[in-house]
Amino acid sequence: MKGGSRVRTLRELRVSLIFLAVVALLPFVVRVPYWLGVLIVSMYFAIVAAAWNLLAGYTGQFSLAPATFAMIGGYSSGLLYHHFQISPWVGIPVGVVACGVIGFLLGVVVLRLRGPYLALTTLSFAEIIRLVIGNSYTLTRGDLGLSVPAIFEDRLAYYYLFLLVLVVVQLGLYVLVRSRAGLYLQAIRDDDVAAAGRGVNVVLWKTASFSLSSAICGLAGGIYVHFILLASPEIGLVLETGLVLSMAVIGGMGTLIGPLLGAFLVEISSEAFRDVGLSHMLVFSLMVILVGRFFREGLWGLLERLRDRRSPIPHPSVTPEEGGPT
Amino acid sequence: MTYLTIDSVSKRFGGLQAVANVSFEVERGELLALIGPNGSGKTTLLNILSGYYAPDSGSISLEDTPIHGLNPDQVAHRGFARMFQLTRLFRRMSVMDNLLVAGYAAGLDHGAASRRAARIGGDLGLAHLNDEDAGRLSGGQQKLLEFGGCFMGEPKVVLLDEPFAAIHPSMKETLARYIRQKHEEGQTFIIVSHDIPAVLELCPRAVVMNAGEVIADDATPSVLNDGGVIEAYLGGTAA
Repeated sequence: MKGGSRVRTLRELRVSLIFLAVVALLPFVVRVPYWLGVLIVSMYFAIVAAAWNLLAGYTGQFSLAPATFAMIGGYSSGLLYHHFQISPWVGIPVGVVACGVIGFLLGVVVLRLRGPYLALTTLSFAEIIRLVIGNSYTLTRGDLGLSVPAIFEDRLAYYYLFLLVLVVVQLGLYVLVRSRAGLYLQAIRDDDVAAAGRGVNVVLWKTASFSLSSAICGLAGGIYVHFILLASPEIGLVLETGLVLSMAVIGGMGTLIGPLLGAFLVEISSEAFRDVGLSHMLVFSLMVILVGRFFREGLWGLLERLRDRRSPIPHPSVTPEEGGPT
Repeated sequence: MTYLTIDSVSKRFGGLQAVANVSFEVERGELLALIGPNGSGKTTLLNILSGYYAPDSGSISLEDTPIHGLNPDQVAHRGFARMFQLTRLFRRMSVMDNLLVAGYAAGLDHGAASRRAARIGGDLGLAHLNDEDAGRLSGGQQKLLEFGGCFMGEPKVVLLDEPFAAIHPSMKETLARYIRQKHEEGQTFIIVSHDIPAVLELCPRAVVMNAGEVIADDATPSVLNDGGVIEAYLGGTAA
């Protein structure tokens, strides 16, 4: 793909903001509450997928717990209200901090592991937390779920709150990715041995990324439970994490725009295929396989490739005496 | 005060004694070659010096401060810069970002890091590739980029593992010229290389390893005529 990483990231931000501007206008066209709800859930998933992408796409750490942190964020606010009548406007930030701290502590333990070991450890964490919540009836009402109050009367207010959070997350990730810290994270993703040799504290930055990613998931989950009025262990199902991963992979991992495109594409088509039951998962699985096999940069990568093909330039690294890239 | 002291360093992997009781000293501003046949323990010693392996025994100190047992990032902050035998870069990041990472990690602010990256890129003939992803460069250009990253901070010791292997002669000359220039400015180098003509031209002193041990340590021309060294390299006897 053409352009340096700086140019590419700026292009991704611009397209993200155009996309979100269109999303901001959709309620003027989409007036059916059901489909407004689908768009809100798409934005919830876009935030969680963007957070997972920070960890997996920009730092190279494959976690299987993004939905778990969304669940923890949701339960933090729900439990504070249920037991102490603390306002969700306090409960949601508390959930964000709780997820950040838990993410940091978990990161300290697991981020010395790599690849499948890291994935399996985060999967174990995810299942343990979900089972503990599901079986702690006196504290959480178990699998029945915890009723939580609405924070708005109007569905449109939720719509624009999620949109605002999504815009802030996208802008924040852009600033982060282009910052010193962001370059460290991408260096760790590309080669953590080389990054350490350059003086980057690999464990510290991996842990910081895990903590921030977890906090963003917690924020999304905190708002989400007040939209669906229920904090439930189902929010943290592995299936939900699978959806988040599919969204980021289909849209384009390691890009700002990818999780956004993937979340809306997968969630909206999921609703469109709802009549055929769980077999819609087959469609997403097939999409992930196709992306993995034919265009690993995802939908955004495919669009970038098509864009490059329309305006080819000679590759500057090809020199006659070197015979081109090796 | 000796600048860099390697004292009785040993490292074993299972039944293999990779480095055995290695000791030598390096003076500030010295350009030292570390040579020897394949499997002699040169790269293992560089990995110990740069913190990737902890020695089983022995000590390493820079300006009388122990550095053995530190992590690679801590060793880098003490002033070691490392170029690997098989090029290690941040392949999905641009040439400029590859250099900036090294500059930031060395404590430079954005302005200083950018200026230094531009200067090094220019010196190494990479300036026109600033926005190109490192993974799309040719093998020689990647090697130059990794080499350039070593000088983004103010390294006290630069460790180069096979810098001249598998690159075009013109790039090799660029590398050698830069090493000579830095050496004249007082930079300390340890260079591992199988390129004996380059070693002879660049490095006044050579330490030779074989089977994990130091078998010679002297002026490079003398070392290359040493019977033990010739035997280790060629499996034959000295002329």
